Amino acid sequence: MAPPSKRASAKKTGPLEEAPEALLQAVIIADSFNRRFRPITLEKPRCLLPLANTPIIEYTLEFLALGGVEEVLLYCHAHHDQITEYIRESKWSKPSSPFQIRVIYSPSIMSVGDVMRELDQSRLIKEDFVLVSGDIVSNISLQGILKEHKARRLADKNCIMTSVLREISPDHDSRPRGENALFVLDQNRERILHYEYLKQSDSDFPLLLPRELAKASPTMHFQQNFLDCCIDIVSFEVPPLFTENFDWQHSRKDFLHGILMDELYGKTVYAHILKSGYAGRIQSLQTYDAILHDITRKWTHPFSPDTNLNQQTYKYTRGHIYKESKVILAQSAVIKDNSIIGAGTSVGDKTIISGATIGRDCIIGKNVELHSTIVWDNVVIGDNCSLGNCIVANDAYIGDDSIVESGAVVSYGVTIEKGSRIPTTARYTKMSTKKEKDSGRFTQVIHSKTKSLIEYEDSEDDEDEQRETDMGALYPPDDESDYSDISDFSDDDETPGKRKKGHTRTSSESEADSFFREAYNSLLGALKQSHSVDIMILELNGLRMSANAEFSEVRRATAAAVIAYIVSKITSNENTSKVVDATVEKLLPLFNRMIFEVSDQVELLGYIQTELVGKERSGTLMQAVGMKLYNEDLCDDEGLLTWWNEGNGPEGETPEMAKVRDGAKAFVKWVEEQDEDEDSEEEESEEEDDE
Amino acid sequence: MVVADEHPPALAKFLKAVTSVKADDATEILTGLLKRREIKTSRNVAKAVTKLLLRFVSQNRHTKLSESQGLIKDVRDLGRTLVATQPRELVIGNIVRRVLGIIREECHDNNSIMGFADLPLGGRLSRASSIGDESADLGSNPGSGTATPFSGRPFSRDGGEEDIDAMSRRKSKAYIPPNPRDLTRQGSIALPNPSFGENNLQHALFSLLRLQSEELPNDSPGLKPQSKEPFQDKDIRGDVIEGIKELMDELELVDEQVAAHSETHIHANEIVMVLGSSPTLQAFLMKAAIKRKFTVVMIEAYPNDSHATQDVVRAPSKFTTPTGFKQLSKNPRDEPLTTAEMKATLTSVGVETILIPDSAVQAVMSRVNKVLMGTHVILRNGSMITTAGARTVARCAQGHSIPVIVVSGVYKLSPLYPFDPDSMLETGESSTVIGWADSEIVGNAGIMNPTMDFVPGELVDHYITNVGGYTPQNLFKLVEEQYGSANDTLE
Repeated sequence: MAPPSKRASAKKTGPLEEAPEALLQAVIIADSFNRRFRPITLEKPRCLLPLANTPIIEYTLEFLALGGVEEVLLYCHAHHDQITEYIRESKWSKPSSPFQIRVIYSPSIMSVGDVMRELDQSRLIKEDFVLVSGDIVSNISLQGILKEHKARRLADKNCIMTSVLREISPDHDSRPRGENALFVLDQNRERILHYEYLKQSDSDFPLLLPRELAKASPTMHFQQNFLDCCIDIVSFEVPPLFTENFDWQHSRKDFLHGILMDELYGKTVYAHILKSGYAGRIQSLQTYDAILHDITRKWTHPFSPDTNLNQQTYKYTRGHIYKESKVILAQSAVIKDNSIIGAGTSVGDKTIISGATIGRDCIIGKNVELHSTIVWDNVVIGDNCSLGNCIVANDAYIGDDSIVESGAVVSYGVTIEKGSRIPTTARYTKMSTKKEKDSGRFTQVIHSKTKSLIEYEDSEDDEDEQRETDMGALYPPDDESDYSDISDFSDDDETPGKRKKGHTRTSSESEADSFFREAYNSLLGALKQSHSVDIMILELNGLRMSANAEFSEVRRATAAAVIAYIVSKITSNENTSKVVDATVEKLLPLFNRMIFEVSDQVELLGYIQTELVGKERSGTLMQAVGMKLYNEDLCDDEGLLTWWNEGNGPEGETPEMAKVRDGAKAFVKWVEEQDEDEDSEEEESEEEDDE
Repeated sequence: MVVADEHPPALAKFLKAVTSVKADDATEILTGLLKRREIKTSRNVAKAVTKLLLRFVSQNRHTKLSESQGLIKDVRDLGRTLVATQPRELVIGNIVRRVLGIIREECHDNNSIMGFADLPLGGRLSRASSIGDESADLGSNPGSGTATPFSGRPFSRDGGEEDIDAMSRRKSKAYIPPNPRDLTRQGSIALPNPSFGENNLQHALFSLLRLQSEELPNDSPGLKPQSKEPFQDKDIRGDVIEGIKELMDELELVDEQVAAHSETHIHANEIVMVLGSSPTLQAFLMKAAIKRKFTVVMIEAYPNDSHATQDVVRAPSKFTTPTGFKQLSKNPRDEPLTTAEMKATLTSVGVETILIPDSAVQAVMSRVNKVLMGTHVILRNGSMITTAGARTVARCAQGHSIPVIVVSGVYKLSPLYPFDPDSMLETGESSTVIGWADSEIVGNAGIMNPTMDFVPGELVDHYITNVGGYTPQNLFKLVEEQYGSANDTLE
């Protein structure tokens, strides 16, 4: 492989000399698809928030520039207009930029998976590329990792990804609280054999490994002490895989887990464990604070404030104190170690600033104490205030004698009244949108100055929130509490992710259950997004083979998914048969592939019956489904009657089940008669039954 | 002889890119590279900045003599931008000031040719001096002739002759202000006299200084002449570019020129303590190794420089020992080192090398004969900024009355005075001190990794540059020579 630097220079020589080799591309996903930074992100996207007074995205772009990237595709969703505008005005859009940057907005992007599918369709990717999110802070050089990756690709054609991991001790400040993943690595700690996303709450959750794994590699490393900063070198084969698996949302939980679980893909993923250098991802307010901490303390050198990435004028003085020019400090003000102060800020008498980050043009009053406080631009802090490790966003006003405790968030333009006391969990914003009102609970506080203030509280009553609080996180009320939702359509309760979550929590889960869960999710997702039946068959087959599942399991999952889908579709009695007919007709090829014998028919009907228990109109549905199956020759007389006569589903008959079965009574009776009479007046009788 | 050494990828990338983009874009590219610290070390920064200035001058709209003030202003502005980008890389300012000097000198030369400068000296004579240099060169240093013998740059001199300069200066020690008249006469007669070069240089400089002090305030080097004679507004760009190219050559040749002094400083069976891994230092030791047998005690310089230091000591894997090195070492020779010789490591050429940890400096100090160091930048008052730990070593050497010798190219000499040395020091990644994953320390202790150290002039005994040896107390003379008295504030 030619060193990437060579190619970089080829690019810089301008359009005249077309580089013979493909450009090194990077894809930035400038959206986190979660709501952990609410309410701040109501007004500004996360990647444009200041981190050590430089927008977060700058760190990511500098990191890519350092890595010799030559083309950047930046995908954004929320606040895409602001991101586009920012990039257009920045140095990265100038001809002198080390790479070409293209901002791509698509309203359909709701997860990492969507970005990858979009990428697959766009055909912008020709070679292996770097995949990062828009909130990476790192000073590692990608060149060596890329070289390794290329070498591996030559040796192992199935290698589709190299992930950059960093070892971290369990109680490290920068470790994201409440997020945990288990990596199973091979003997040399190079290949990732298995990935499991762990929830803090179910620590005694049994780990399921594919059976083949142990055979293939007798020695394995199980490591949980990784900081996964989501810097990946990804093969161009990956986006198509996402298209194939349309339900993959998250690059780790879905993609990495899925690809490694499934023997059929036969793909391999490698890990690059960092030995030196810094890499971190701002995943939550807690990691934001931790990374800011590291930047101030020069762990991310050269990306520290005094590098002045964004045309600032910071100067470094001993003790990790960074001051821009035109800072006005009162004689008696004390600036302690690890502080950053932006230009135009004035600090009053006897004020103590220790470990705080202060933006530009702030006015800090007299006798104020700032301990590890994060203050952005244009903030006014009155006299005698005391602020802990909290975030105060642009243009906020904190009245005299106020106390803001650690962990609080004061968003843009909020005015805090004189003498207030802001508790740890408080989050104040001026924004209120309809959407937010739907999902969160708001307390509106009207102040004397007629400045309205909205206390932002997300009322998702997840046990995980509890968990994060228990973890003693710096910012306990991390409002996006559930990591698994990271990839979800956050307000849509019907997403597969959530359902999956529900299933994950069932404590004793066998392999069959796990197959059932996967198959069920995939089918239901496919039905909802009306994918073609061929894709579903492919999917299901893949799952079945990887899990080594019985056909009976397949039938159970199919029955469950189909019924769930039908039930969700049916709105009134009238369209029952229509929906059933349409669905079953569509899935004919699928059913054909799982029903071979009479006993199979019986079983399927049994499962359908079980699934219908407790559902609305269960009887009608049972009859409609049974009839449709019969009409489509999926069931014959024998099967239907056996089911009827056996009198019990696979799990025994309960009163509820009997109720469901009774719904189909008329139809079965009719079939019985047909069987006896072997008459030809089928159509007529069918009409009778239809009512 | 230009050593075709390999540049680090970022520098190579930049040097290639700079020729094909607009100067403004090239500036921004360099700004990015400097900020990301993709181009580090004074040498590489100097190379990149020189190349950028070459591009800048060749694309600047001011080409004529009458527009020279505009050109000076533009270059100065560019210099300010670059200095602001990486204020701790003082060599940026040095190079920009050198180029400003080149431009001023061209103006002056041309003015004097026209006969406007009524001073007795000027470019003519300094030209003559380069001829003298050239002829002196040819004898001792055939491969390394200056690219442009008639460039009219009085500073453009190299190793062979400088040696003599240095010697004469060392002999006299005291700085004798030359009598301009006298020197002119002497210079015009005694062309082949090698010592003439220096006198003439001082002469030329003096005139330059006087001219500038008279001309600069009214900002009109070209206007006054116009009123007098049918004035040809000469295009000075070509000459300035020649001057910058010479500067680039100087950067390539500097190791060789510095190394030429090695034999006078390293004697047989000496034990030399060495701090630093710079190519200059390495070339210096290699050159000495040809003739002398001595022992090197390398200080590890953990953590920032330890890898580079180990590479110096390590037996080479990719470079083979230069063939015939051993034989040559028996027959002393005066030829410059070949590329392979420069790259060979000390151990590979049979120098006994001992690697010691930084903590053992005090313990070993009493055994060594002298301490040799590289440097990052030398300041006007004889102090210097160099690898962290150097001050301790120098202080320790002083305690044992052991001479501290610093080798450096003259391009590292900065006309700045260290009013606030702390602000000139770079602080590096904390992770080189301790692993970041170690939460028990990282969370509780402040960790700091200064990569540089300020060494006051009192602790250094001798500076060896490519233009001769100087004591810290005499460095100011060299500063005047290099930069003149024009005060360009870039910071």
